[in-house]
Amino acid sequence: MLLQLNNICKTFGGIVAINDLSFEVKKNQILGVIGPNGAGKTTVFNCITGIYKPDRGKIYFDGKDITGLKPHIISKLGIARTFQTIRLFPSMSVAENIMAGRHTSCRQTWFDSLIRTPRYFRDEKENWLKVKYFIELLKLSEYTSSIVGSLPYGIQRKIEIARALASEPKLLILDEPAAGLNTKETEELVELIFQIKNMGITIMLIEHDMDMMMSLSEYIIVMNFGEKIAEGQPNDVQSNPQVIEAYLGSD
Amino acid sequence: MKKNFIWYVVFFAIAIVYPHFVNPSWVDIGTTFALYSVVALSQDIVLGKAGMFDMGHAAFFGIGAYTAAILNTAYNIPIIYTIPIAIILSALFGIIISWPIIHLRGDYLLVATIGFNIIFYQALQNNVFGITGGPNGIFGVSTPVIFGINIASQRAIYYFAWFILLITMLIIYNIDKSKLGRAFHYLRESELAAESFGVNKRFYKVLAFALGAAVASLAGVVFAVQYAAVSPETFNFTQSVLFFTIVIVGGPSSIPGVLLGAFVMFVIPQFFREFATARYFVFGIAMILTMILRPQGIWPAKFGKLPKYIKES
Repeated sequence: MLLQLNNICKTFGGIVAINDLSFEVKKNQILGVIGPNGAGKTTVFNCITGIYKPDRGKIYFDGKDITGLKPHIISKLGIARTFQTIRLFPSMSVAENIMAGRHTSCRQTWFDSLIRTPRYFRDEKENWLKVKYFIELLKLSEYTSSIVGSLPYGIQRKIEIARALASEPKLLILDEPAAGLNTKETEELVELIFQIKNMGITIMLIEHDMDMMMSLSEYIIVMNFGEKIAEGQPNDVQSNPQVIEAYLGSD
Repeated sequence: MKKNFIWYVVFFAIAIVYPHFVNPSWVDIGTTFALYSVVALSQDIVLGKAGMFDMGHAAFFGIGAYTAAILNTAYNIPIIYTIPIAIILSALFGIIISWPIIHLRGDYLLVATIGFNIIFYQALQNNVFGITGGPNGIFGVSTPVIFGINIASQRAIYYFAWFILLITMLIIYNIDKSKLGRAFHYLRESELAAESFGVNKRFYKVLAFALGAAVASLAGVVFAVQYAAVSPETFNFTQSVLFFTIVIVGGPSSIPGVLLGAFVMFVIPQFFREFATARYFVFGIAMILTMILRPQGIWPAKFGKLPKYIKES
């Protein structure tokens, strides 16, 4: 088991965003989290990555208690993510954006940076070559030195994934990666996600595209109003009456 | 890169011959330009790179100048030894001042740093601990002796100031092309994304202040030497506004931009001396026009200058 959430609660003011949520993610699994808008899916991701601190409950990652740790520490432990609304570094180039994923792996200290020690040169070359590898892997070579803010949406989505992969995570969290993509781009994305799984990386994703979710996920968690209402294999979940009710409403 | 390098060589070549062609008051202006550029580049670490609105940077400049002046006049410590002390002291101040306010965003941080600058200025004015000389400041700062050479003549101080500028530019260039500079840029562009990829927000933000303070204080020491004196007005809030504006008008996080900003904001007004305070009128309009026409600064930063080996296939 790679990730375990035990009885997580999170409220904002009087609003309960997550209520007593527990689930597990197995190593090298593709786990989907679905649910209507406002079900608390992104809040769960934000609790895992340290952006929010859960009010109650525990989160274990790779055997360690990571509840309430700062995002930069959780990132170091091997969790990388993409954002629902793209959060790149818009005025910087594609390569520099992806280099952010290498931040933790860069071994130079600030002093090495300042006076350019031999370690600085070794470290820079090593990490830029890694960046190059991920640029080629995601077929972004033609954009290497382009400024991110001016690139099309689909490319920006790819850059976010490249940045996350560049950190060589154990767990990759994708928050609506297909949002805003056209059919062809979505197909490419599905292929890419399988490719990432084959690299030995565990994947968690939120997505609204049901067909995509059903074909990608090995296991699905269904949320509504901050609670888990069902979980299981895609087929079981699809026929679960509570899930159908959550999505279609009841009389 | 090559083209830029040639421009920098031309820039410094002009700076080297410049004092031989102008009268003493313009040599002084050249010296102050170099020092203001150093302070503006240090301000740019905090403002341009890390994206924090610091409007109290003149205080760090002042800490350098006053440290040198006090240690030199009251304790007879040679100027050259006051440099490392000033740098460390100012960096420590940078850390202590920024630590409790570093989580403040944008305008809130701006107001807090103004407050810091005002306290600093009042402390100088009111002669705290009886060491700052009050409103008159301190006179009789001596000149540095380096390898047996006394940097005493006006031209020697000019070259010393430009040497400091050269060192500062190298440091800034190194910051830009490293993990350190990238971390600053990431924080400026998107704090949330930066943190999510392992950038320790507090560490890097405080470090930006410490580095900015250290470099500004270096300029401060030379400034005290240039005028053989220090006084509070040179380090008040209005001066901070000047450094802040130099960066914004010139081009945040761009070395040529900041140098150009210092030229436009400090040197050009010197041409219009005879208009006295009326020149500031023209000047305000120039600032407004720049912000409307070139909101990224006159010479904006360019990203995407990557090592060669990354682009080869």
